[in-house]
Amino acid sequence: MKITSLVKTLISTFFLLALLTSCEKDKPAFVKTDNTAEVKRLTTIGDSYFDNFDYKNAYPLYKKIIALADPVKDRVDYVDALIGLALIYQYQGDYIQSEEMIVQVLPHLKYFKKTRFAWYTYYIQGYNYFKTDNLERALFYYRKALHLKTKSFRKWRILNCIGIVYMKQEKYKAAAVIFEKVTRDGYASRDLTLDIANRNVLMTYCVELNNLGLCYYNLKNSKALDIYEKVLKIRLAAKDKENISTSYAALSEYYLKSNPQLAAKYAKLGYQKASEVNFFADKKYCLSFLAQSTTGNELKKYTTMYITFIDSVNTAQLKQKNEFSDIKYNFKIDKEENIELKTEKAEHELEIERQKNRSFISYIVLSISFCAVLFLIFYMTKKGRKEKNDAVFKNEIRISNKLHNELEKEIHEALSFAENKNLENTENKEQFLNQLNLIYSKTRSISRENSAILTDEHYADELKEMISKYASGNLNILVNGLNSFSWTKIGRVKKITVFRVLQEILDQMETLNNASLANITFKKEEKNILIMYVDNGTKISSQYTILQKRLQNVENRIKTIKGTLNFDEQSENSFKVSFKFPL
Amino acid sequence: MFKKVLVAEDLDSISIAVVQVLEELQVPVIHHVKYCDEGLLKVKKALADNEPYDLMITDLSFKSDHRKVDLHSGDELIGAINKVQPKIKKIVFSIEDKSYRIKTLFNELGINAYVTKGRNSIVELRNAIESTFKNEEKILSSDLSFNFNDKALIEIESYDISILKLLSQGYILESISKEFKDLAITPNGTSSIEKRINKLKIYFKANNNVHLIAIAKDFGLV
Repeated sequence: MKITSLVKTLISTFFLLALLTSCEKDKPAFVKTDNTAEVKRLTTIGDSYFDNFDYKNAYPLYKKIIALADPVKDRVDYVDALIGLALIYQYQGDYIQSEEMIVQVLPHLKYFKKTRFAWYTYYIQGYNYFKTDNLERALFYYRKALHLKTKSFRKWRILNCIGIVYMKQEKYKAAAVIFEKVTRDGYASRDLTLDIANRNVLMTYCVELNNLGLCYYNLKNSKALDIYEKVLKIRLAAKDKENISTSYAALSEYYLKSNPQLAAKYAKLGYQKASEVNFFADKKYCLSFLAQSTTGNELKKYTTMYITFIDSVNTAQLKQKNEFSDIKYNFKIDKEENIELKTEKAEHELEIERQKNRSFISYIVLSISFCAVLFLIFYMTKKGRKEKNDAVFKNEIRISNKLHNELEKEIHEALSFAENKNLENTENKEQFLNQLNLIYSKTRSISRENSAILTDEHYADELKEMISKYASGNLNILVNGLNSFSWTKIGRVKKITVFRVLQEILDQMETLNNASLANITFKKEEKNILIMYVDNGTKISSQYTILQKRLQNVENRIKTIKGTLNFDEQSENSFKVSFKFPL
Repeated sequence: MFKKVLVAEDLDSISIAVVQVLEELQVPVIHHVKYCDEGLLKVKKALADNEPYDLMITDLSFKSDHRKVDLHSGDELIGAINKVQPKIKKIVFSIEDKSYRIKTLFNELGINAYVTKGRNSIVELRNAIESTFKNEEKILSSDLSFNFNDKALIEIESYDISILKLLSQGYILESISKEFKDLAITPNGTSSIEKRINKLKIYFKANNNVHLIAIAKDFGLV
């Protein structure tokens, strides 16, 4: 029955450790830095539940802390809650979950100067591996914990754990060495007198001593009995109801073969004491020892009891686990709700982000269109300026050509006159002055032709004036319908265009043909103004081609007011040009 | 000769010449102003003093300078003076030679003479002043007279078009007169219509009525 006693010991050790762990946790961890009041409050409540073994209530609180706390800002509380949860899972036998919790602590350990959390982490890890039969891993973590600079009592406790692992590995010698050391050196400075203040220490000492006894027992060392009896004596003196059954169970096991009656006696006592505190493990061991040490009716009785008990224990464990599952489930629902809320929040944030993106995009679109508009304005201005410059240049060329055409002869005459005649002569002087005056007045009229055109109420007069300049004794110019509509309703640009176009046509006709009669008809046709020039000049077919070339400029002008220029090449005896533009 | 003359001219070289002409004509009081507003004030003051001007000689264009003025041109000055002293004699002495503008000055502002600045302008001005003093009407300097009586530009009216149309339809003089009477178009007497047809023949350089209609047809007038 080596195994059963071993398990018994382990369980008792476990509970004691749990008790001590909770004592450790008594000092609230959040004293360091904690900015979140809620996390702090929950930690206080959670730890108090934990310390009172109320894991059902502690569990959701720790979960909540983990959900609420900021792992960086509230690191202490966060890690504390994780360790709390790891322990709770461990107590419930859920070593996988426990490990899952404790793994989350690992990245935080480097931030703690004190080794307390590291020690817990390694300790819990070691125990998880121990319980899942991964003894080497368990030893690895226990050793890690052992090498931490911690308070000595923690070192002794880890040594105790290592001893238990060795026991499980059946390395009883090694285990015995450890337990000897623990029970001797570990309590060298401790007061082992029976006192309320150090009762817990004494109880732990008893557990460890008992472990040493177990080692001796397994090594067939006779010291085992002494130790068992010593432990029993202390426990009896300390009235340790919780663990006294363990001593009886150990003694029962010790006498099982050599003295079955004594073994049965201890087993009965142990069963009785274990029943008082409902220590099901000891109850189980004691019942099993009873079943082995008794005979006949008693054997039958205890065997039945043992079977019934095992069943009930299983049911109880199952129930306990189920209850715990309920809590976990309820918490899961909470968590799901939280997740839902979080999702909503995230969605909201996403929406905000989207809107930000949208406005960002619209900003980009706006600035691009703004740039485009700017560029367009710049381009149009530049183009307009270029066109204007071109127009000015063309105009200058035209004027200089005209000056050349009209004044060349006069200037040449005047120059040769001045060279060849004696200007001292009054008659010559007068003639020369007349020549100069002619040049001046011609220049002036060219200048006037190109000066600004009045577009006010005097426009019609200005137009007539211009036309009349082309009339002479040889050429009669008839004007028809010039006043048949109101010029004031026609736009300035259109008026200027009409003026320039007529001027250009008359100019060209004057140089091109020998007409004696010309007629200009102005007509208003619905929404158009039609202006028609007709003369009786000799018609030359090439005239139109030349004119068309010369009037290129005119045509462009008409186009700018959405008008059309038309040469009537069909008429037989006359030359006709007409243009039309909308009002 | 005139007793009191106002000269409105912004270029002193010209005003000196004008004043010289007036002095030669032995005008006793000669006032000279460079701004139109000042001219109007002088006229008003003279009226108030009961010593009004007999004659005003003015330019048309005045260069604008730093002074803020109400009257910007000779046209405006004449218009303003016409309101206070309509009977004053007015001679315009300007570079302007556009016949329609000059006609407007005569017809609408009632100026007495128009003299263009030119090579012979002093003589022309002198003649104009003398002619004005003799109450002659519509005096033009000699270089402008052609323009003023210019008939080269002939405005064909709808009346003429109507005559041409009826002629082209074979109407004789009497029928046209009757038609005009029916349509209440005046003048509709045969003699005035005949005169008009003769005028049209001259305008169109036509030898006879048939020729006239042919030309009018060619020109698309009928």
